[in-house]
Amino acid sequence: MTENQKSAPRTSRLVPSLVTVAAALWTSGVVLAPWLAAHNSILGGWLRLLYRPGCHQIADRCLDLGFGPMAVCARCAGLYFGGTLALLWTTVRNHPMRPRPVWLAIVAAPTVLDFVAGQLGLPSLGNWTRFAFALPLGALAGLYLGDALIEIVRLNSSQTNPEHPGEDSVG
Amino acid sequence: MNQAPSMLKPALISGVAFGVAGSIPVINWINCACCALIIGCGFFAAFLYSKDSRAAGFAFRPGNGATVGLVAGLIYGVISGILGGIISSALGMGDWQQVIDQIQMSGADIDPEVLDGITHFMESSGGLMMILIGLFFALVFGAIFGTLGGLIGGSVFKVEPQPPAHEQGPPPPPVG
Repeated sequence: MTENQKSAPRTSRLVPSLVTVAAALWTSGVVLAPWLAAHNSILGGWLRLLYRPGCHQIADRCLDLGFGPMAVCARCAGLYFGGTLALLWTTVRNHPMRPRPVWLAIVAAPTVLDFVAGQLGLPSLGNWTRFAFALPLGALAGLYLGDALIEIVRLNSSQTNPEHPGEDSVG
Repeated sequence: MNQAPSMLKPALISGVAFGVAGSIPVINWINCACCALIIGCGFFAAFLYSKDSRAAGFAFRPGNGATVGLVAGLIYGVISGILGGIISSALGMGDWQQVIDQIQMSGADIDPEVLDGITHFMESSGGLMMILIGLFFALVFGAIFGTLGGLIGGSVFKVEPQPPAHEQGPPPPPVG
């Protein structure tokens, strides 16, 4: 993937780390919900409800790892996992990565086409294929989000510490 | 000297356009894919604001994207919450029983007495309570996912600041 490597100085990892942990918790809940439900925990049902506003949760369209359908459909799971992995990658490297915007159109195309095909009643893809199509789109969104977070931290730290822009005492 | 472009115009255009789309029953299914319509609202507002910033010669950064995305998301929430509630009530789709069915289908173990109590309260308050609850959730989700879309748009459509005039080098010495 062609990308614009930035020469921005390394910044505090605190904010990107917190966002990455939040994203990881959110994504792990997708798997945790059916696991808890399979172990007769009430929390499983409540956790599943938490994801309800952002996903249709149709069981046939959800991945199943052996203890029931996940809390979100395969497409949403791909977006969540991709986004979390990209945020983790950005945070670990502590260096933003901003792919060219044209990549957004390229990686979104399969997911958009699959969604439109589904709405038109055309034959739909398998769950793992849908997951695999959504994964790079989520990853790209995660890379842009990581880039945005690091830039915001860098700008804030350069305003508070103009002598050493981008450096911070934390992280 | 140029004046910084207003954030309200792109936020309003995007918030109203996506809010209306989000209140139309079939189109709002797009939100089933990770609230894509609300993320798109923030993203589009960031795109419009980056265009205005570029034209005015101002920098556009992810922070600006997040702010314009947040405002657009809130406008989305107001428009889709009110309009969606009215459309759902008019078409008879805002039935509380449907919500109860969805909760039971999700496998959540809720005391039937509690559900009965809530159902009685909702029925006695008429459709207004459904509209208010819908508005509340539309505002919360609009704020969160609008900001997310604005942040992503802020990174995608970033406009670097123009260097100040004095950094372009000193003028040539007078000749003669």
